[in-house]
Amino acid sequence: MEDILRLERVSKVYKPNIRALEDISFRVAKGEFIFITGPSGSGKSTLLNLIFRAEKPTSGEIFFEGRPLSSFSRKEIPYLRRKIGFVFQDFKLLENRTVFENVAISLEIQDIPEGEIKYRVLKILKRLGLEGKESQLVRQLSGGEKQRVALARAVINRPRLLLADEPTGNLDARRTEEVMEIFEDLNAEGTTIILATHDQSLFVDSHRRVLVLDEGRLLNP
Amino acid sequence: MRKLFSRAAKEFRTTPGTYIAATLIIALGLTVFSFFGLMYFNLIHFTEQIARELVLNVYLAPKTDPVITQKLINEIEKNQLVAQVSFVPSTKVLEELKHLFEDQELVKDIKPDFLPPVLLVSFKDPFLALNKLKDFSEYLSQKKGVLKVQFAQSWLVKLANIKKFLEIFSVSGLFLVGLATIFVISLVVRLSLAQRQKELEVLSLVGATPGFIQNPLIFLSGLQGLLASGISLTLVYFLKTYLDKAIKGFFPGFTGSLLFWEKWQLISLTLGVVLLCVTASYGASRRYLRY
Ligand SMILES: Nc1ncnc2c1ncn2[C@@H]1O[C@H](COP(=O)(O)OP(=O)(O)O)[C@@H](O)[C@H]1O
Ligand SMILES: [Mg+2]
Repeated sequence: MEDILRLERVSKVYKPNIRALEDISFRVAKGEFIFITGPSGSGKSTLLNLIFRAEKPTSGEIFFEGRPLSSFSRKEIPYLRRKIGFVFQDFKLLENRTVFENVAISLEIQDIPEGEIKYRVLKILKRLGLEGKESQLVRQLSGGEKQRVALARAVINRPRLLLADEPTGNLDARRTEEVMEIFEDLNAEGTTIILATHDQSLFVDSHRRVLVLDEGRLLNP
Repeated sequence: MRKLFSRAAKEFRTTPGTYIAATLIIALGLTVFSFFGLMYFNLIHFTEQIARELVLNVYLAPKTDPVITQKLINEIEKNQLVAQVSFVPSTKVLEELKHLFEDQELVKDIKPDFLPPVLLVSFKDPFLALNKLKDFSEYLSQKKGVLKVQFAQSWLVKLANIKKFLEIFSVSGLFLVGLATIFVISLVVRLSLAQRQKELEVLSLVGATPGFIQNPLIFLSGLQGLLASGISLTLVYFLKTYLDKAIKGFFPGFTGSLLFWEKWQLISLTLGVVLLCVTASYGASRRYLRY
């Protein structure tokens, strides 16, 4: 199967000398759903940030759909990001805006008519169980609701690749199960998913591929 | 273009208070700058004007042959420092005298033939000519038909010093005020964007292009600069017209009204402010984007 993502000997060193990632190589096929796990500080978030081009690797190269990320100019990066959804660990939601505005932002930045935006936002909110919450301010929401708003914003563009950083970190067992079901559904619809988590219970019973990070190194390439 | 306007309008509506307050602060800074600048330039101009009125008086012997007088006038006019020579005949001198004395009895018997006619010599730039002026007056006093040469050298020296002081004062003062204004403007633009830091970051992360995010902000900043310039220059203009009325007749040498900024100065000041706002906003917003 064709690769959507390929990493070749990727390293990331933060100043002064923090080796967050060392010599990481792996491939992800189109339509795959993989987990990245490892203890806190092992480099999971850093790895997702590099794939999203929120940061640049110190050495090595990342290929998205065959094209090296280092070849994307400042003006091209936005178009790359529209193909990659990211559920941030800290959500990165605008607390003083409504749920609707937070999700619609992904569409407003493109030339999409208002009517279509409204239709698609309400549809995704309904799917994620946020129906009726659209005009609430994000700061009034619970952690679990914020998590789902962040997910809604990440997937509304129908990204080819979805990156999720600890997407169940704020959820109780029941909510966790609900969110994981949504990921499974999205994957069934064809979205490639990379999910970073320190919670082993999310994947122990699944047949999914699991990459294990420890102190920036991949234990099972 | 229409899209830019509508997005800028939307952007304005998110924090209208901040935009208005920032515009007023910028306008205030500019008002201080342009008002002080204007006052300095007027003071310098004023000293020059006074100096120009201090002319060289060349007293001629009464009944000097008109041919000799004309020759003298021609010679003085040839000097490059000289702006104008005017001849005041004895009869005119008498008239002035009569004007001065209330008691007409005193001047009744004076015959114009006994009064020395005067040549009034004014200079293009009395400050520049100051050293040469002394030599020139000494030279003139040797001339045939010349009784006495008189000029207000001590006054000119004092005025020249005042002008020099004003120039140093205004250059350094304007430099400081200008620096403070630049600092205030870029700080205000920066601070109003710092409020939006999170939003700019989020926009860049969900795939907005740098132009999409920055263009409305830069456009609004430019507009702020333009508005602020308009407000402050109008304010300074009204201040000037008020001062014109208020100081009328204070100084005998001062006839006209105060100088205002010339057109090219107004335009370059406005352009400079707009440019400053635009670059400050570009630089500040760029820092919050994550590409
Ligand atoms: N921006 C940064 N600057 C410096 N060090 C960082 C930065 N981000 C992460 N690190 C360091 O890199 C290592 C990996 O961090 P991270 O990727 O967040 O791990 P994880 O997500 O697995 O908990 C940690 O030692 C962390 O302190
Ligand atoms: Mg992390």
